[in-house]
Amino acid sequence: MSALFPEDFLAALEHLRIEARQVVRGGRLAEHHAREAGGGIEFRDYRAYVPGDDFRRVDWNLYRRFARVFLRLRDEVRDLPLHVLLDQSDSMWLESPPRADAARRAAAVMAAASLNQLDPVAVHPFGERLGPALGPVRGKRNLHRVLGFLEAQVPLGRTDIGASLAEFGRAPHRPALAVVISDFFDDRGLEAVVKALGALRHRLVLIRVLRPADREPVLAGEFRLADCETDQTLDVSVSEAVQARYRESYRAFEEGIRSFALARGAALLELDADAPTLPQFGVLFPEGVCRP
Amino acid sequence: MTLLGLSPLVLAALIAAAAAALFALHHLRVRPEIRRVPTLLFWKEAVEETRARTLPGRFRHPRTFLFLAALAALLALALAEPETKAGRAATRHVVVVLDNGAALAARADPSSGVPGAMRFEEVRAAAGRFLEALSLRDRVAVLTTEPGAGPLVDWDAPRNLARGRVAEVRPAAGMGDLAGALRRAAARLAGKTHPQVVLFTGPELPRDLPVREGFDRGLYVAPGEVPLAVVRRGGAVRDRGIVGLAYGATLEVRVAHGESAPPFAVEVVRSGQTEPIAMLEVAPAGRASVAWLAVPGVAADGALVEVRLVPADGFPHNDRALYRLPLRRVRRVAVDPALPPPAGLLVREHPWLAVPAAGDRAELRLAVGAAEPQALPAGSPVAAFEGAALLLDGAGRPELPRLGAGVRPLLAADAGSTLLAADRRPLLQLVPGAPAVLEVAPGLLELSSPFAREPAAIAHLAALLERLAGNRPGAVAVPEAAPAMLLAGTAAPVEIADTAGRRLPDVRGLLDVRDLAPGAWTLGGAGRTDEIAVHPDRILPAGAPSGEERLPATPASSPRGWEWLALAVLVLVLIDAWLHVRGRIP
Repeated sequence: MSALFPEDFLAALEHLRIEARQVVRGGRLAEHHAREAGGGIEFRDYRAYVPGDDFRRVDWNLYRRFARVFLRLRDEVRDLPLHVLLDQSDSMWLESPPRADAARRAAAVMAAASLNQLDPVAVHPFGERLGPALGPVRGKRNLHRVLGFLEAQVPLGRTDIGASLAEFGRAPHRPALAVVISDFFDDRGLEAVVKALGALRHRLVLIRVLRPADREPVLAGEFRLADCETDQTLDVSVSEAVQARYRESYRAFEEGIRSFALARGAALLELDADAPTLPQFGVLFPEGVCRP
Repeated sequence: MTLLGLSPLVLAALIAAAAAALFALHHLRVRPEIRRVPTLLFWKEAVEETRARTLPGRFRHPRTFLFLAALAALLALALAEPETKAGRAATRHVVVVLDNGAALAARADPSSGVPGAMRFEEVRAAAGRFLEALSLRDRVAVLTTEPGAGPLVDWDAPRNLARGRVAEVRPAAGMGDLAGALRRAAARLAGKTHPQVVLFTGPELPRDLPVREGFDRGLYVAPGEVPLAVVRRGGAVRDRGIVGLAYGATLEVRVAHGESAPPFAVEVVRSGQTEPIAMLEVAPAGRASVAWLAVPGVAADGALVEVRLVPADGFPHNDRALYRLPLRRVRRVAVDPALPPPAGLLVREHPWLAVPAAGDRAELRLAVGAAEPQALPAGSPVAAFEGAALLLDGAGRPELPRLGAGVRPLLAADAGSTLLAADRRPLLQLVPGAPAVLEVAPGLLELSSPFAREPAAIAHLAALLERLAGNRPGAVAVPEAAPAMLLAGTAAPVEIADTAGRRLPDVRGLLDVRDLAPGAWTLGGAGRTDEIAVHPDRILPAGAPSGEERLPATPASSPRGWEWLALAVLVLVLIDAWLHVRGRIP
């Protein structure tokens, strides 16, 4: 128990589950149904034999009764690896409380849900590139390791989502569920972010950590704005017109993220860093189950 | 429209400086609050950062900048005091004539209230203050009295340049041409509106200058009927003093005075008494000179007399002198016993000797105490006093010789050399090889000698008489050979030099200031120095300094250009404020 992960928060994590609609074959036996029928326990269906099928799955009783060869299909239940890509750049640590708190709690939620069903969980913090990762770990007993790893996170400098995700993509991961938790503020622009996300060959869950002030900045007058990551400054006279242009630019950014998630079929959670974390996950975990 | 007081170059520089200052102010006018944000991504798109990075883009509010630029330009133009044609008609043209004659190089009398200050410095400072007080609308030219010099500052010169050049003027080495400068000033003012000549000079005014006292009243100089105002500055300098005393047939007092000296008197008082022996009035005739005053009724009795000027001029070292009157006592002069026979007597031109006639064996005549040589009367007892010299009493009568002990008679009947009296009777005879004493009385002495053929004897007698002169009784307070301005009672050498350090060589005799070039001269001797001023012009006595260096109020004129510009600035400020209120300008 800590300030970041209070007791009631941890208690609420015990009943969360992730049910992937389909998983690819391979991996360890777990609770996720594979996309194709395989050597599981529960019966799914029959189908006619075609050359090349495994003779071991032929239902010989039906062959005796109907003189036709059918295969007995069973659900193949496999695990679903979870990779949490956690943005720990300076922008996540700027305000108070930092967005990183909400991001780490979100990572804990997703990790706990996976660990509850014996899925392997790995956490990959990133900033300008990938930081030291955790895992994969498996089993509920390892939740404390995940939480401890999350608590030990520190700012990792500038944001380069493209480089970080590309580095992640080059690793030999089998298809998994990738949860990207970030504010997606990359000074290379939205196109670079979308390109990097699109390059991931995993099922995606996007958790965008935001604040209401991002959408409606409470600035008026003369300001010298300094980027917390690049220290680049910009003198701005914040007038109504400038604010309107800002809102328009931010809205385009949001729409870009949403459009990408929709096109990719990825789940998207816009997590308000100033609000309690768990209630916001109700959208992603209806009835405690996330179905990415 | 003209821009008074500013040349186009200066005006352009002024506007450029205002624009630069405005640029800096506009750029620095906002001190933005620094705020760290997670990303500048959206702000960059909002404010079009690429435009903001360019130099013109710094002016994020071009309309505000245009307003400020207009304000700055109008203020710069208003500073230049532009003037319409109507206003130009009221422009005053002032020619400042700065007298830098050499006489102003003298330092003022300490009693004049400005101790140690060169008079020209005060004159120049007054001219500087005058230029400072002038309006930029006034056109100014500056001339000096240096002969043949061009204008120091012409009409179009910037005012600060005029002040700088005036500050650099130094007293000339020679005489100033005041009249010429005034003529040049009048010529420059021909055809100008509201002409005015302002003369800055010392306390003395030239006699030939048509000037009345007071600054505000306009006077006129030819040609052209130009009003002339005179500003007089600087303290008075010493202009009179006792420069020598001598006693010949009578007491002589030598007094030097400058041209500005007021009438004064010379008073001779015997020591210990209050009633003066004599009081002589001196009225300077307008030229610096040395007056030779013979004071009658002063007997050569060896008393101490004090000679002083009334009224005193504040210089105690030369407005009084002590003088020891000569005594008519017999002096003894030893005659060299090696005098070759026959002893001769020199008759040579000498201040105390006169040669009555040339010729062999001229008689020797002795005369003492009178202006005219006196021949010894016939039957004079002198003849009866063989071996003695001629003695005369105070009234010029021969007296018995007073021979001291051990002094042998001078004359010997068998020597063959005899001093003859006027009536050809032998007076004394020089005896070769024997010591002799010749006793003579001081005074006017005429000698003639029958031994003119004997050059050696004549030369010997000349040396004798030189010694007589050196032993002249009653040492004069001021030696005859001392120059003017010598302090009483001193015989120290005197140095005379002008302010440029030039020295007068071999100064002997009284110094007549007429012999000096105009300017300031320093006289040094006996451990002290004094300055006198030799004025080049005929001048009036020094008076009190004139009033403030300020011209009368300028003529009334219509509203001037700069006033219209100031009004335009006000209107622009109001428009700017209105736009701010309406939110047109953030």
